Amino acid sequence: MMQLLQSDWQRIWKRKKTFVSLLIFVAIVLLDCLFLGVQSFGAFDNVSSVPLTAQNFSLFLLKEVSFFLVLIIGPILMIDSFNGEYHGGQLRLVLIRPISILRLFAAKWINLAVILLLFVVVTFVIGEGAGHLLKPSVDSVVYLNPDRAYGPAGAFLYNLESYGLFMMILLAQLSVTAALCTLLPSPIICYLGWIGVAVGGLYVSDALRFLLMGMSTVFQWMAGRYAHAFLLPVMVCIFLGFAVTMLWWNRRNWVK
Amino acid sequence: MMALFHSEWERLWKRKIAWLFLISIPLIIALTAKYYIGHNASFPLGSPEHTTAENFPVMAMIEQLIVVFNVVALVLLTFSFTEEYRSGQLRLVMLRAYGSSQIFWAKWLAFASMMALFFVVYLVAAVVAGYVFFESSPQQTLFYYDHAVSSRYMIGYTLSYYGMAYASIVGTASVFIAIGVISRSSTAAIGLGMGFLLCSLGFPLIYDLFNRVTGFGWPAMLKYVSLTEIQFSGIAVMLSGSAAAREWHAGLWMVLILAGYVALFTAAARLIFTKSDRFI
Repeated sequence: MMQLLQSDWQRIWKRKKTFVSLLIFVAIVLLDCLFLGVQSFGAFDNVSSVPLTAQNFSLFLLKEVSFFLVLIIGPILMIDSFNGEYHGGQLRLVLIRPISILRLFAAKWINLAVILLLFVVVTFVIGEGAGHLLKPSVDSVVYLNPDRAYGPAGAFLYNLESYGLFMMILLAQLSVTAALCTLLPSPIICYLGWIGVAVGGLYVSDALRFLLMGMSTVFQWMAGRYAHAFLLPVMVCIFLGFAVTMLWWNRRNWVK
Repeated sequence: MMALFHSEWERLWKRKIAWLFLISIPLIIALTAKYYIGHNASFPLGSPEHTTAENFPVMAMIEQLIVVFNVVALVLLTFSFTEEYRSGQLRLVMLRAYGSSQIFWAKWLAFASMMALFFVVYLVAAVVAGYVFFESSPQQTLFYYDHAVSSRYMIGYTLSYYGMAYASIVGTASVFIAIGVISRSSTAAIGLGMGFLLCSLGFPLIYDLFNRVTGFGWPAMLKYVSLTEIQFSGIAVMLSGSAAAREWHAGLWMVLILAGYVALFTAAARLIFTKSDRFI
């Protein structure tokens, strides 16, 4: 298993796209820091906003960059790994060895989860750092719910928890995209499929709106104002998507 | 050249995605109509946001132009310029006695004709849906107009709106073609194209903020450097006869921007497409 993880990890970083997306992402994060740095208010949505401080800076930074992760960088990395290698025939060289396909899928999923975590952690570290550099520190900060005030330590934990929830949304996206990549034939169609699922989810059920509106969902859920189920659909997406796709890979016709 | 165009045209239609989009146009129109029926409850007759049978085609285009048409253009162009080239299918065309410049223009023409067809089908479906789902009204209120207009005037307005929307899609398409030509893989082409769309969407916000913070007071028209902003509000501003739009020469300015995008990116794409390494 360790070797499978390593081999897949090397293949992910061998694609220039991975490193270039990381560089572009860091550039976007830094630009967004400047953008937020000149603003005095952070907006949760069209209506509610609070003064930007060192304590809540990283949360608003994640909101600004989340669309790049959910709509561009995330899908590209996932589709390249789950569909691009299969589509381009590169996976044949891996599958010629006597390895378990179940484990191969698990290795890909875990590696992508680690890389997504890397992107989220980079945002968090830059956000906390830039927040303390650019914005004044305050003793008490409120978020979307004005009745609940947090001290510096509480605010830090609040940000950390929000980042954790966003990471879970990304994992749900990872499992859903893995299933899509198995169902659909080519990378371009997979990308379109993901956009279709994310946007279509809004029309199908409000419980699926976290796929596209991740940060807005996290804001509301953390303030206790999210009217729909959140953790259950996320968990169902993560685990059901993972299990179904894994078994599907095992029974799939690999002769291509 | 005609045979080459025909072959490109057939290869575009070979994709299921093209048929899928053509079939889903009525569905998209129906969903949009459903959305505007709900929308009408909060906007009384006389507000430009109130939808009637006559202005539904324009409202439906405003709602879907930025997301649906841009993304469809991106996907079709990625298939046509990146996927066919990088997967080697295009070798079978290059084998024949055509110059790469001819192949480029045939691809461009095939895409442009296909988009034109989509726009016509969309317009027809929207006109039908307008009269089925919405009530007719003798007077129409338009965005950026200071007076109501007659339904007869609305016909010309709708046609000009669709024409400009088509021109704006040709503008974004020229950027997508340039991206498709330089990308080594289709995921990269899609990612860069979406990145361009997101940056175009974000630019007006950042420009407004920059103007407010620095206090330079740069002209508001500069935000129409972004193609999606032209698609979002620019076309309505361009077609309006209001004094502010006339003072800024809004129409001329936006047409120049569109022409600039098309000329710059098409020329660059053609140059790279014809000069790059043929041995793939």
